[in-house]
Order: sequence, then C-alpha cells, then structure tokens
Amino acid sequence: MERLNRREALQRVACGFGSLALADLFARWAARSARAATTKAPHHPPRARRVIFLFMQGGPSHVDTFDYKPTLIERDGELLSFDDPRTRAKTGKVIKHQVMRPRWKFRQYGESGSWVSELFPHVARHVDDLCFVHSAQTEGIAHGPATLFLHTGAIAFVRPSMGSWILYGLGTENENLPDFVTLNPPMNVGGPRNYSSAFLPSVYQGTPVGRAGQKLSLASFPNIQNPRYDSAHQRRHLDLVQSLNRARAAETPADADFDAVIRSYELAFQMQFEVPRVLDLTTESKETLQSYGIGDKATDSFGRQCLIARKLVEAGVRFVQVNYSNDSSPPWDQHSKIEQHAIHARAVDRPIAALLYDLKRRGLLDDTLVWWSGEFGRTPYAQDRGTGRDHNPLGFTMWFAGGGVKPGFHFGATDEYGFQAVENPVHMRDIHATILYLLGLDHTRLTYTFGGREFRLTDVGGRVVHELLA
Amino acid sequence: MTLRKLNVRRRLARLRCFLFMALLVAPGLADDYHRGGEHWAFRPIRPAAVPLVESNWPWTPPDAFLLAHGMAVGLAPAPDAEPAVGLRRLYYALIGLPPSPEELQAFLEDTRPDRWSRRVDRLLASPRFGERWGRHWLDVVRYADSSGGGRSLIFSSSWRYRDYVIDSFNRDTPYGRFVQEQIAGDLLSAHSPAERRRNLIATGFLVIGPNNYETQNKRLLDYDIADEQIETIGRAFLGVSLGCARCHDHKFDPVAMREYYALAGIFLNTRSVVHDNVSRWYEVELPVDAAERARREAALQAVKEAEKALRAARQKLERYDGVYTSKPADPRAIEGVVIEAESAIANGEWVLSAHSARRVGEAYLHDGNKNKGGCSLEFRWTAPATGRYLVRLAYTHGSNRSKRVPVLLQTPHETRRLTVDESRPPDQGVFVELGQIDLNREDELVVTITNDGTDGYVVVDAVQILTAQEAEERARVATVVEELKQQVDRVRKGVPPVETAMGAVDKPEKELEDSPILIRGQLEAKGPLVPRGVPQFLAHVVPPLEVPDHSSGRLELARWLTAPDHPLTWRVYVNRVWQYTFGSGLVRTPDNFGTTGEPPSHPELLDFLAARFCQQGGSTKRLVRELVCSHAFQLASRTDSLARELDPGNRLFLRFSKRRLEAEELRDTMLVIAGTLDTSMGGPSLPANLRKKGVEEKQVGRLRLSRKRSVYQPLLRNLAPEYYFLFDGANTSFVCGRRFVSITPLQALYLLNDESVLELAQATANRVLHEVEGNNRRLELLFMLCFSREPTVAERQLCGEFLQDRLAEGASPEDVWAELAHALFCTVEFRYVE
Repeated sequence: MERLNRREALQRVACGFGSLALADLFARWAARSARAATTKAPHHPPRARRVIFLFMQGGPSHVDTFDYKPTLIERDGELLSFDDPRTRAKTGKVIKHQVMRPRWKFRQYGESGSWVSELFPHVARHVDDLCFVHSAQTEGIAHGPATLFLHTGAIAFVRPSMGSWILYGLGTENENLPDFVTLNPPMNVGGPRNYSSAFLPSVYQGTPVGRAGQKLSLASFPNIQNPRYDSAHQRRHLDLVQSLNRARAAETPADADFDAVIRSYELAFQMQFEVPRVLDLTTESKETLQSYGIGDKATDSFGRQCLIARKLVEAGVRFVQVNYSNDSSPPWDQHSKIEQHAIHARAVDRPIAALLYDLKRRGLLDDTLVWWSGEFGRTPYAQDRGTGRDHNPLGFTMWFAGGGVKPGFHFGATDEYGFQAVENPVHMRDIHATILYLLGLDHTRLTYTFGGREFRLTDVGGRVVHELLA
Repeated sequence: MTLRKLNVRRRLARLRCFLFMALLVAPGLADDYHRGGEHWAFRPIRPAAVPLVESNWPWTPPDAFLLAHGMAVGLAPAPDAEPAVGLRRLYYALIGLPPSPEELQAFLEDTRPDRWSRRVDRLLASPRFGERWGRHWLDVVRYADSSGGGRSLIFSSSWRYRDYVIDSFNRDTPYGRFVQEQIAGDLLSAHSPAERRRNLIATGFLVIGPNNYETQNKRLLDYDIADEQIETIGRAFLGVSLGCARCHDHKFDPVAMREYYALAGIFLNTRSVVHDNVSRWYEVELPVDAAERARREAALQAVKEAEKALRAARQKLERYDGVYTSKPADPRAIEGVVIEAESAIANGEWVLSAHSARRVGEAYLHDGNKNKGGCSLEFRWTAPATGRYLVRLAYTHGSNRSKRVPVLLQTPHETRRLTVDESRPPDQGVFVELGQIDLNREDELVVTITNDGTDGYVVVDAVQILTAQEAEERARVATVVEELKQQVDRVRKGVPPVETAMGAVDKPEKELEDSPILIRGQLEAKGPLVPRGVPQFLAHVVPPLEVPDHSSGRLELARWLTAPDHPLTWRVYVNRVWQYTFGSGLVRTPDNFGTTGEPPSHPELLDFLAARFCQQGGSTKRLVRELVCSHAFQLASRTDSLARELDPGNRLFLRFSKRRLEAEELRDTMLVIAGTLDTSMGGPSLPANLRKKGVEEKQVGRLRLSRKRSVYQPLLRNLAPEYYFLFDGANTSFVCGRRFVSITPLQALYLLNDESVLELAQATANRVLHEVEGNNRRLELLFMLCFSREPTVAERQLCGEFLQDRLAEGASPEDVWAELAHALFCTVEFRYVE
C-alpha cells in the first residue's frame, strides 16, 4: 500500500466525506505545522504571485487625479442637485451642492492617451502599464466603516482581512519572512482589525512593521534583534538550546510539534539576518534611492516604504501593504483646502513611479499585482460650499498594475460629473473577487467554517471582473 | 503471540477504529445520533449507567466509560505517568502554574495513599484556581478591556466583571446560578448589597462585546448589539449559532427567524447602550451596604455643611472685594471708599469702555494701547482721620493688557512707585492690593496711573481705600474663606465615590415593545411583530417560558437556559470542563453542538456527566475534582505506536495528550520561576487616566504590564499584549471555547529577544545564585524550576560545558546563569506540559 502523509490522507478523507467539520480540523492541522510546509495548491493557475497594496488613507479625489471631467470646469460654481450619501443618511434629503472644478490641469499621457492631472506627473509616465477602474463603488460613508470594508469585506462584524484570506488560501511561500506584511499601519479606523486573521488561524495574521508616522527602521520589526547578545554569541546560545532539545528528543518518541518548534527557532534565527537585509537600504545604489525620492524630505518616508515593499516581494513575501496614513486624521481627507492634495500627491507620486519602474526592470511586475486605492473617492462638488470635498463611495477610481491585468486599460466610468459610477460599476466585493482570482483563488470556494457557518471574503457577493484580465 | 496473529489483531483493530472515527467525523452517517432528522444534541439527556468492566483500572465512573470504549476497539490504556509528570500536569490544569520544587518534593515524599486527592483539594481551594478557570470563562465570553470597532473605546470598568468571574470560580457558584447572574443578574433577588453588586456586575457579560459604537444609525446599532448578545449567548451556553437567523431561517440548525426576533425583542428591551454621536455602553450604579451608605450620607452632609459655611464666608468677603465675574460689581455695595475711574482726573486720551463685564460700576477706562507716555489718571482723596489705610486697584484683565502698569502713590510724607500686571486677573475679588499707607487727618493721597513705557492696554476701573479696621476685618474674613475652602476639599475627598460597573438593566415598563421580523435583516423591511420569547426548537424537551408584559424576558431566558432538563446547557458546559482538563472535549467543537459540529466521541459519558452535574447542583469544583482524580488524567502521554496509529487524535483518551502552554501560563510560569510574580488579585488593569470617558485605544501608546498574573493584564481589542497574541490568546471578538495552537518564528523571536523575557531570565539567575551553592545544585534547581525534574547526564554535560566556557571567557556568573535560564525558557519542553 502506498504511504500517505497526514495531509494527503486528510485530503482524501475530506473528499470522501465532504464534511464541513473536516475543513475546520484541516485548518487547525495546517496551523499547527511549521510554516515552510504550508504551501497549498491554488484553485486555478495564478496570474499573480504577490500583491503590493498602496493604501491611500482618507480617500484621494478621483476628479482631481485620474478621472478627467471637463464638465466640472464648464459648470464650476453652479448649484446642482446631487443625491449625496451623507446628506441622505443624516437628513433623508437631496440638496443642491456647488460644483467644484478640479484644481489641477489634466493632460493625456502615453500611447493609451490616459488623462492624468498635474498631481501625478511621475505615475503618469507609467500609464501604459496601468489598468484603471473608474467605476469603483464601496460601502461605508465614514472612514472607519469604509476602511474596514475595504480590508475585510465587513463593517459591523469582525472578519479576516484580505491578506489573511490569501495566505489561508495559498499558504506561505517564504521561509525567512512573514508572508503578510503591512508597513506603517495606522491605529485608527479599525487599527489591527484591518490586517487581522479574525477567526482564521493566527498564522495568517498580518505582521505590522512600524506604525503610522514612524520612520521604518530595524527597530520597527518586533524582537528582530537581541538587545544583549551579538550574533555569534546568539548562535552559540541557540546551539545550546537546540542541543538540549535534541537531548530531550532522544528520550521521547518522534513528534511533529517538537520538530516544528525546533524549526521555528532556526527560521527565527534566519529572519534576524533576512529582515535587516530587507530593511537596510544602504546596500541600494544611489540612483535607486534617488529614484524613490529617499533623501528628499517630501518623499523620503513613503519612498522608504515603497523600496522596502519591493525588497519584501523580491524576498518572496506574498502580500505587502504600504500605508500612506496617519494616526490622528487620514491624510487624503480634504474636507476643506483641497489644495492640500498636492502635499500628499507629492509625497507618493515619485516613490510609486519608482516602484513600478523598479519592479518592471527586475521582471517582478509580471507576477506582482500592484493595487492603488483609497477607501473611497471624493465628491465632485464642494462640501458645504467650501474649499474641500466630502467622501464619495458611489464612484471613484483605483488602478492596478502588473500581475495579469490589462496594461494601459480603462474600465468603467462615472457620470459626467464624476459623482456616481454609471458604466460597468465595480463593487469592492468584485475587486476582492478579482484579486483572489488573479492569485489563483476562486472567491466562492475560498471558505472557512467557523461556528457552524461557512464564511468567505466576498460574503454572498462578488464577481470576477474578467474584463480587467490580460 | 505469533507475528502473524499480531498483524491480524492489528488489522482488525485498525478496521474497528477506522469505523469509529469515520462515524465521528461524518455527521449524518452515524444513525445512532440522528434519527428522523432529530439531532443528537437536541434530544433529552439520557443518564447512562456506568458500564461494568472487569478490570481494576477504572478509578472513577468516567474511567469505566473510557475503558469500555477502548475495549470495544481493542485499545488498552497507556501506562501511568510518572508522579512528577502527573503533579506538574495537575498544577497547570488547576492553577495554570507549575509546582514549586518544594511542593514537588513534599508530594514525592508523601506516602499516604490519598496524597493525590489531598493535593487536588488544596489546589481547588487556592485563589489561583479561580484565576486559571476564570480565564477559561473569559475566553468563552469574549472578554476585553476595549470596545473594538472603528473607534476602539477603553472600557472603564470591565475589570469588575473579570474579577467577578474569577471570584465565582473560587467561590464555586453553581453553574446554573452563574448563567442566570450573567444574563439577568439585575432581575434576581439578592439577600445583601454585596450579592446585589455581584449580580449587577455579572450582567457586564452582556455589554463587554465588540461593538461599533460609532455606527450612525442608532436603531441599526441597537440591532447589532442585540445580535452580538444573542450570538454570544447561543455559542457560549447552547453551543448553537443563533445569529444566522437574523437574515434567514438557519440553514443547518432548526432556528427560525421568528425565534431570532423573539430573542432580539428581549435584548432590544434591555438597556445596554447609551446613545450619542459615538454611543457608549451602559453602566449600572453599584449599591453599598447600610454602614457604607450611612458613611456616605454622613460624608455628603459634611460636604453640604462645609459648602454652606464657605458660601456665607464668601458673601462676607464679597462685601470688601466684590466678585470678579460676568456681572458688574455695584460700587455702592462695596465697603470703603470706592473712586471710579470716570471720576478721576484724566490727562491724555482715555477711552470709556464697558466691553468686559468683570468691572466695577458702569464702565472703565483704557488708553487704547496708544499714545504711550501721554496718558495718566489721578485719583485724589483726603483722609478724614489719622490712621493707616489700605489702597487697592480694580481693572479688567486680558492677555492684551500691559504687564507693567506704573502706579504712583503720593502723600505729603512719601512717594511710592510700583507696577501692576494687568495680563493676569486681580487676586482679591475685583481688586489688587497697591499698599498700606499712613495718613494724617486732612492729608491728601494721590494715586496716579500712567501708561509710561507700557506694551499693552492700560485699564483702570476704580481705586478703593479701606481703613485699618476694615482692612483687618477683610483679612480675617479672607483667612476664614481660605480655611473653609480647604475644609470643603477635605470633606469632598472623604466622600466614597459612586461605583459603577458595565452592566445592563431592563428598560422601563412603558418603553417595552416587541420587535418586528426584519426581512433579510434590513431595518426598513419590517415584517410582523414577534412576541418576546425564548427559542422554540427545544420545545419538545424544555417547555418554553412565557415572557410577561412587564419585563424584557431576560429572567425567563435565563431560567429556561438553566432548566434541569436542558439538553444543551449542561452538555455544553461539562464538555468545556472536560476539554480544559483533558486538552480536548468529548465534543471537539465546544461552541458548536449544532448539526455542523462534531458529535461526541463518548455520548454516554457526556450524558452521564451532564445529568449528574446538573443533579448535584452544578459545582464546577466537584466536577473538576472527579476528572483530575480519574485514572485517565494520570496516564502517560507517551504510548506505543499501535495506539498512535489507531487513535492519532487521542479521541479515546486512553493516553494523555501533551499540550502547549497557553499564553498566560507561559508568561506566569516565567514570572513564578523568576520569583517576581505579584500574587495580588483583581483591580483595574489600566490606570485611571486611561479609563476616563471617551479615551480611545490609540491613545494608550505603549502597553505597560504589571507583574501580576496575566489574567489581570490589559486586554485591548486592538492592542493585546505581545505574549498574548503571539501565543494564540483567545480572540476577543468571538466566543472562543478552544484556542488555536500555532508554532511560528515570531514566537521564537519573542522568546529569544524580548527584553522582558531576558529580564526574567536574569531574575531567575539571581534567584538560583542566591538560593543554593555550587554549580551542580544550581543546575538542579534551575531544572526543577523549569521542568519539575532533574537534569539528565547529557543535559548536565551540555550545560556544564557552556557554563565553563563562558566563565573562562570572563563572563560574570550572573550573566552566564541568566543565559542558561534563558536557554531553558527557549526549549521545546518548557512550552509543553506532558
């Protein structure tokens, strides 16, 4: 009889009985074994192996960046009725709002002739690699709810974040680094819930490196350096630990957990070299650092994050989130003084362009999906007839690059004002479904049984937007 | 036995075992448990007779059940664990800490036949028992110290509920009562204020859940909170998910939307939230006993009296000083001579103003912050009698006023120059003191205020002159006011604060209303009204209780849940206790006894335990005592390969499964080994300034931990202590009947590098160095502390070499022993209890 290992045996049994209970059991088992062994087969051949999510906290204004609406210029200052979601939630009424033209000039770039405003001159040079969704829609009018929905597909309930679902679906690729890393996550708008594994096994939890507003350094990675031992001494100390383990193991029967713990120490020891290598930017060429805007005060912080993101995916990390965020108030949130968008665009534009260029140059863009999005967009009219724009979950723009999406492509459209998605609306759940699809996962089959019920990232919704796929 | 026969036996045993396991993991196939669509867990508890087995192996009834099962599949129990291993297991199971070397020694030297049960009784009586078993319950009730959600608010008094839970396990509150207190404590009668307090605090269970208080639609929030409560009650007490029925009839279990909204009605009529832009959980005021009440009333009376005296004294003082407030002072009502600025002799341009109300009379003058050096005001006054006079100035202050207003006091005898800082408020009512001055009868006093060299407005309102007697009387009254102020502060501090706890109460009777069914869970899609009530799906076993019109129905729900013949409540709880004792449950899905959960491995044993537990009054300690005194609890975890092959998951409990220490156990163990554990119990886990109203989790910054047991450390939903989330602490958002066990490099990094671990290793080293002499004895002590055993020859050699090499390199003994202790903390063995 051929010998089956535990996993195979389980899979066979699972097929035989189709039992829900087994799925849970299986997950527990997977969680127990050492990380290196948890790579799982995708549902179909993947187009992307890794994701870099550039999270623009606060909601950048699409009509000031990537969604060109000449009508706003023509009708600037006019009072028109818009069914504003916040006004409706609070008063149940539709009132008149003052149209506000984009504060920046647009022009067309690349062979695709994509319209981009002056806010993103560097990203604009890459438009022929970008795949725009101009008709994105989401749920939640306030930051907290919309941010949680973006990350977890739920507002009121605690659900696993997208990165955790992806790890759960694909297992882990990397031995020396955590596979889901979030750089400088904010503590507000749900905080760790946005990278938490919720009821999924905790191995699928995102690892935060740094906090919003901190400069990324070695110290931002939890316990990565021993404060007392140098590395030679630590190796000697760990050798003692492992010798004691082996001495003990000699007296006890073979035990998978025993081996897994021993292995986890060796992985940890390796991480102590790997993580500094990733976080250390001194080995990068001067040109690279410059291209990311590192050293320039305006772009230094986000530039570091982007470069570290590249190094992380290069090292095989599966899901990297780069947060452009702030603990006290979301940066892109210009309810007044929309002009301040310029500060944020300046901070991220060059680093993002450099990241795209760098990924492409290294051949990583083919199987790395880059995703740029806020939790929602902004209204095409001034908030309270002032100088800024309010939140807009009804229609906004996000873009993708690499990882199996059509380059130089535009999908969907908002109305002539940029207020609501009218052509091919794409719901956030569709985005979730599509990202999973690109990674080789079928969102309807990526389920987890918890407390007697099956859960999935897309709940009962979600459609793979095949039109976006290359 | 020949090899061939052995193989046949093995094969047969394997087949039996396979069938047994297949039945376990495939609900629906096991006809015995599912008859006519009726799920095993919804059927009445059938108290089974203890099987008769011809063996002296069973020590307790559970042993007989286990052995009978084992014999049926041809598997014999493992040999007994070594006494030291057994004792270590017992300590962790009961109190979550290892035995001290002295306790272990005493046990091993004890020759009495009942040494085990004596030790069990001692541990059950220890307050550490409640800390360990209370923590289990806190997992089940998703305990945390903050609300979670978009804005995670810190709970001010969740710790009271946590302490109540620990106390309940220590005092061994009967389980039925424990359930009733948590769901409806406010509606239970109490025999003393202390009991009433406990009952109210217990309802904290309902409000410590993760809620998004920021939700703007408050009706939706009400339903979300009720939903969270229903779901928690379903999973915690019944092992059934009820929440699914919010939007549709339950797909797998027989819970209909009707039943859900009947339950929702109960919780919508319970006050557990106070609405605001960001809403807040409800807090109940805690009653106190008669003596305390009397003390409180007396203290309040004292405050009242002191305040009255202060008011009277202040009124007296006001006659001299006026009141510097938003109402202008009447110059005629003020003692002494008051000369208003309007009647002074003005040089230069002065502006009349009544802008500030904190003035004397109708108006005051200011220099417009212009023409510096060109303005002055002269107040002239002739003394009616010889004597000493007090001169004071009134002005209205402000940040734009000059800090150095020059004032000149002139008499025939002297000239005094001084300055007044008008950026600050006057310190004697409306006045500041300019000075005391001696005058003879008919002497003229001239007070001149100028704007020479000033950098801000110069404001002049009035000058007051008091006689010596008046000044003296004023000073006396002022002293009395000062004293009385201090007195008021003192007596106020003496008032015992009103204590509150997170909790819930019924809404007033006139506000009670039933909920409509919400179609697909949508607020706007209202279906028919459903009368409040308990679930109906067990109606064939437990008659549902009617909810009276005048209450929410929580009391009826609590009584229904704890009915003696309830098929779920008792089974679910004894299964939890079994799991906490043996590592896994008879039902391995402790929060799911529904059709999607696993069936029990030993249904008769589960029913036997449930029935007896309920009949005997629901004493957790008694149940735990029986389980840890069983033979099964004291089996070795090592066993032959046949047993491993036939029963890899140890579903038969014929050996003991070793288990990874839980996060709290791991930290507490290091603290106790280091000798630095603070064993004081209870109290807030966060300082008062962080528990004030409206403080959010993001304001906490770095989490500060005390040296108390881990159960007392802050457990914020977004910011749990590192050891807690790394070592799989319960997820605080859900009922967590069973924790995950993961093995990750991040755990290894924590043990290798975390400063607190290194500090504890250092403290352990100091302890070992101080307590015994000689490296051999020190090593033995270290091993006893960490593993409850002596080092083997190989281990002695490994550690000895390390020690020698390090010392030879010139490292200090403190450092070297700390490194050794740290190495033992990092071993695999340290993390597990066999």
